[in-house]
Amino acid sequence: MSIRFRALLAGAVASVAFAAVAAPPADGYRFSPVNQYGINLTAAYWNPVIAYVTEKSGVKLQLRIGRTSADTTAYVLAQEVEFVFTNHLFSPEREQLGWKVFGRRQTPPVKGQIAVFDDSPVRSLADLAGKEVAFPGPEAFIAYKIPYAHLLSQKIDARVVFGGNQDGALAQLLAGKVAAVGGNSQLLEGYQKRENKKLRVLWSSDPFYDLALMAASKVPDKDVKAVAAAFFGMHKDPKGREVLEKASAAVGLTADAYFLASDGSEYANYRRFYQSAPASLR
Amino acid sequence: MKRLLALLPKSLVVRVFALYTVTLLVFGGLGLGTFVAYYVRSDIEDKNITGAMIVEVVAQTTTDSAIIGDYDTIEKTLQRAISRSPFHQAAFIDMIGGKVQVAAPQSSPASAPDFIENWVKSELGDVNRTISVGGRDYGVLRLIFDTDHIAATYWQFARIAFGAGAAAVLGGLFLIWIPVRRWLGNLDRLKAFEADLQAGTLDPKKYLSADAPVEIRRTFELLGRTASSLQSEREQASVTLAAIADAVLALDAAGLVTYANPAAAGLLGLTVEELAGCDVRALLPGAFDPGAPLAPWRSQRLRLASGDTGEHYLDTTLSAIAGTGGGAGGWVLAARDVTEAWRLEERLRTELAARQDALESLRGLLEGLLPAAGHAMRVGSGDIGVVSALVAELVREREEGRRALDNQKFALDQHAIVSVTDREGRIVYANDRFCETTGYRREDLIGSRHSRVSSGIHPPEMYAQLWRTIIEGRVWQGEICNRTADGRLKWFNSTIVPLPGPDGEPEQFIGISTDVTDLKETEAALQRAKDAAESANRAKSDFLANMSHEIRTPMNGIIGMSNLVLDSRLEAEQREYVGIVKSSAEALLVIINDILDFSKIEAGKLVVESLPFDVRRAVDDAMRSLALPAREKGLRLRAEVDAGVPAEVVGDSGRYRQVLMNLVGNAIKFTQEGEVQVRVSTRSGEGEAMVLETSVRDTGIGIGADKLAHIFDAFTQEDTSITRRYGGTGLGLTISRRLVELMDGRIRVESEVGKGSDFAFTVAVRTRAAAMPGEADARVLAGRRVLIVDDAQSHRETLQRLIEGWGMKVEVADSANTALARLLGEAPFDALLLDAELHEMTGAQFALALDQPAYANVRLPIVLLESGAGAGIPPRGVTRVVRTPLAPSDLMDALAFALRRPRSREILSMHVLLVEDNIINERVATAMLEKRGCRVSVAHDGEEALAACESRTFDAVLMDMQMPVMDGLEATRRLREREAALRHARTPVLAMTANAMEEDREACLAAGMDDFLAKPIRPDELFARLERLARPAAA
Repeated sequence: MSIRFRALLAGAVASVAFAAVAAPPADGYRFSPVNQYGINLTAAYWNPVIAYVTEKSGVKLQLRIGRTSADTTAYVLAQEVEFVFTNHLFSPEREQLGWKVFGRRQTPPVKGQIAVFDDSPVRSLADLAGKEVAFPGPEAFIAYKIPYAHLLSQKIDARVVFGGNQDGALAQLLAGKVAAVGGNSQLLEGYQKRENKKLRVLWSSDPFYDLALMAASKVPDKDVKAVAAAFFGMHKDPKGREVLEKASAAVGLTADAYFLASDGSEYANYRRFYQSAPASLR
Repeated sequence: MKRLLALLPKSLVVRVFALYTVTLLVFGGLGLGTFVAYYVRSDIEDKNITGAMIVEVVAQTTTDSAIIGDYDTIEKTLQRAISRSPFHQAAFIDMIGGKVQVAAPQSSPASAPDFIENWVKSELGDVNRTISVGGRDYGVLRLIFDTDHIAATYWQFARIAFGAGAAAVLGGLFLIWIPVRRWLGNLDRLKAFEADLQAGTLDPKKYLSADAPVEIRRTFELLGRTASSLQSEREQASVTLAAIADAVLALDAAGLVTYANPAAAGLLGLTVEELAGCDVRALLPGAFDPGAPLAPWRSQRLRLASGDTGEHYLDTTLSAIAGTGGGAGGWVLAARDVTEAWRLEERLRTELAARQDALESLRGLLEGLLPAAGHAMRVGSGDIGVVSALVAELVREREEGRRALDNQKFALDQHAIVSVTDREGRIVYANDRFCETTGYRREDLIGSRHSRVSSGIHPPEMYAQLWRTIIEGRVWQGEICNRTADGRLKWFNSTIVPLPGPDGEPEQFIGISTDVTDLKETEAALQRAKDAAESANRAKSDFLANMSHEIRTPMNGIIGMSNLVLDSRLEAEQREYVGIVKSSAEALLVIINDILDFSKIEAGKLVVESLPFDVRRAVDDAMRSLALPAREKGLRLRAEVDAGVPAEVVGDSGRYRQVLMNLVGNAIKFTQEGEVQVRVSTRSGEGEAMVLETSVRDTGIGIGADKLAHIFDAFTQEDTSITRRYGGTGLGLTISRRLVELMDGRIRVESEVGKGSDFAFTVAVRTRAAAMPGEADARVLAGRRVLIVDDAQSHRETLQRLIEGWGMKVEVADSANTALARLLGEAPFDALLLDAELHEMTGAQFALALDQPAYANVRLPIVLLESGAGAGIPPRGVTRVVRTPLAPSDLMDALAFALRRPRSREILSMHVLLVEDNIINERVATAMLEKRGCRVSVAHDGEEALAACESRTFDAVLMDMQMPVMDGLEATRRLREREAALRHARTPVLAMTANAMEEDREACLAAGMDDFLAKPIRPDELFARLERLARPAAA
């Protein structure tokens, strides 16, 4: 039996197993948010939130944070998580995986940006030709795909460096290893507040809604609804609001950044991007 | 901290060694730990970078294999990737969950503690890489670090590093111990130092070893120099103490003498040897508290009495020598003999005290004499020079005061009659003028009671009050009559002042009087003259009133009968003649009224009222009265009251209307064509005060500039030809000016010949706090029924919503004919709101249509809505005109005004008692009343009137004042008394009399009448008053 056949067989067995088991795994569903702030800060934000949602919904969730922003996508592809907080799954091919948007975070729409420190000699995008620009990772839609697609469209030949996540990319800029950073406007703003450093934005994209709360198709509807209800009611419950406000403050978000329902229609412009994106960014 | 101190070794050598050991361990340990941590973190970072690079390399190969499904190649690639790498597992997971996984054999050198393994796992997570091409995902490549092996490597490295460090520390400590012990051992030899110092054989170098450190060597040399210096100073002190004259005793802690200098021995009468060991408390008894411990003092004077040396005074100081443990280790007592100085001080002190006593006595005396604060301050200064100057100043002031007093007394005696009495009323002083005026000799007066000169004409209460006033210490002033020695009465204007004694109570009373006998006689003569003049004035007023009454009675007959004749069927010529009679009589009446008003103003008898009145109504009344003459001359008469003018103000409405009518009447009189325009506005004053400003502008003949200055003077018209041409007394403007001034206002005129005149006057009024604009109107409107007649549907609906909002019941008619039909229906209306421009007929024609016999029973107040500006003169049958575009407040005001007016049919149905003795007046009044449909009963005097009122109830009583048997005032008073006693409703009583004076009016109101009407009676005035009296019933 070839390895390919064995693999396919194993996959088939696994699919049958998933189809047969509608109940959650014994150790709970796995929730993987994109690592936006570095492992420590991301964990500091999500741990109390997930603990609250688990308690409130009665559906056990355990946090799984990847080392880079791409890890969440890897977990999805490897079918190792059931809930994610990501915007990496809107390409036509990944939409076929069957993940559904059920909510989002109440934050102003974000923009893909290319920025430098305020005292940088770089004054325009053209100055980046031949220089290195740091991005969080190849899977980062707002922070990498959007700004890099713009650089390509402007025929600016900048060299791409990945920092693993947004803070990693900013660390490269701070260390002087790259000339500019590509990022998500919300994360760049949070970084400026948190670190008291001033960035100068060279270019901003059209606005996009931030990451989406998504659930795998294999999760029973009642569990998705219970988890969604806990997320959406969080800011109305005094205890939930306190958890949310503390967690938001840790990553530089305002207290208004609560969770609300979404049917996925807010992410139509992601889908439009993939229709015209360069092949290397799809 | 205490525990740490307890652990501190006693020996300096051990301490230095321990310090070195701890320092070496801490810094060596920290340095080593930092090195290990840095190494581990760098290695972790390297491994992460390596992992990222390896996964990218592997991904390249894996991607190609994944696309074509070559999983064998993928497995081999993964095998190669983890060989000799930090990973021990690698896997490829495809999109359907299939997994290709390889693992390296475990080769851990040694197991690391759990916390290290966990930390490494947290730092080295799985490396994931999605395998995607052109947007399509093929799977996930995952490399897993061999964290157990990596942790064991770190643990082994740490153990080797810390072991080497510990060995290095131990070797170093051993090498340090030997020299430290030798070098610091020099300090132990200091034990022999003290013995050599006492023996005087001190040589610091002999305590030092040859290799002693330079710091210890310098310390020993310094100690040697200090010891020699101390020895020398001790010798010097011993010689000094033996030489000085002050006594010095050195004491031990218990107070026993350990040293005494020769001066101390001499002072205390003992030898130095005898003093040694003595207790200082026994040597200086009285200087110390028995049993109390010694305490230091400074500059204490002691008295020392000794049988051998006599009495001595000593200035002493006891100083403590600091001992170990905070207490005194010994004492030094120094004493100086100051016996001679003490005796000298005693003498000086005694002398100073005597002088101070003398000065205090003098100061006390001066303070008593000079109570003023400034002086007191100077007296208290204690400077003998200042005190002397004050004494001189005091003497001078007293002398000046005495002279001034003499001068004043002399002057007073020249002018006034002065006497002084004691508390018993006995005269103790009388000046020459007192003796001259009373006719008594001074020796007869002194000692006699003051009542000796009393006239006896004042009541005893006056003297009691006088005595009570002055005995309470207050001044009495007044006029008093005394009797002279020869029995004549004399009047004095007197002031009696109580003079307080030392206890503050009045002791004597000084009376200062001037003889006012002549003045009193003059006053009496003047009073008699005044009484005579007032009597004459009353006679004049009575004459004036009587004349007024006498003129008005026939005038009433002339005008009244003229009105009746004019209302009858006459030929044109007859109508013209009678009309002339009537207008002549009215002109004569105007002249009489002017003269009476002018006379009252000149006599100061005209009083303005202060009662609430409706400004718009006052203006409206005036305009209505003058609308006819204006219309006859073809003049436009317009009046405009600003919206800011309150609904009600407090002032004299009658006088305001009189001035306004005079000015408007003049304007009509002197204008041949064009218009007369009235405008009323207000200016706010302080609080409720407000100024009502009214202007009357015409397009008449105008007044020349040379005449303007005199136009308000009495008996002046522009020129005499004017009087002849236009008539009038020329008093109208004078009266207007006086009336305006009485109402705290001003009147002015601007004019140009041929262009017209602009008269303006102001009157002071007050706003009426209780009357909120619209509030009273709203009460009148609530629940009343109104018919809106307008052929424009939108107007009807707007009006209906507006008026229903005021609580009125509204019905609408879309045409004049519909409205006329509705008015004949059963539902009665209270008012009619009529558009001026209806299709079938105008509003004015509609109002005239209601005069037809078919509508005889329909008597409605009509409010006409007319486009344009200014206050329109209502056409016949119309109560008020409201201009459009409509201001809701104007409409509310107009409806309220209309509804307040009683309906004609209410007057028609009134039963009136006419009380009149004059047959002509009776006929005139009866005809007027009956012509308007009133039922009239007649009484010819007050008694008949009372009898009539007893037998039945009347809607109103018209009461003459002067009648035989019982006059109108008395009849009214009795009527009111009876109503009160029987709790009957109050019958309105209207005085109708030829007595036109103000006091007549006041007398009528005081008697209980409700209103006052001067004869000759004009029908419009009579019915206006009746309407007003009927208002409560109508409302």
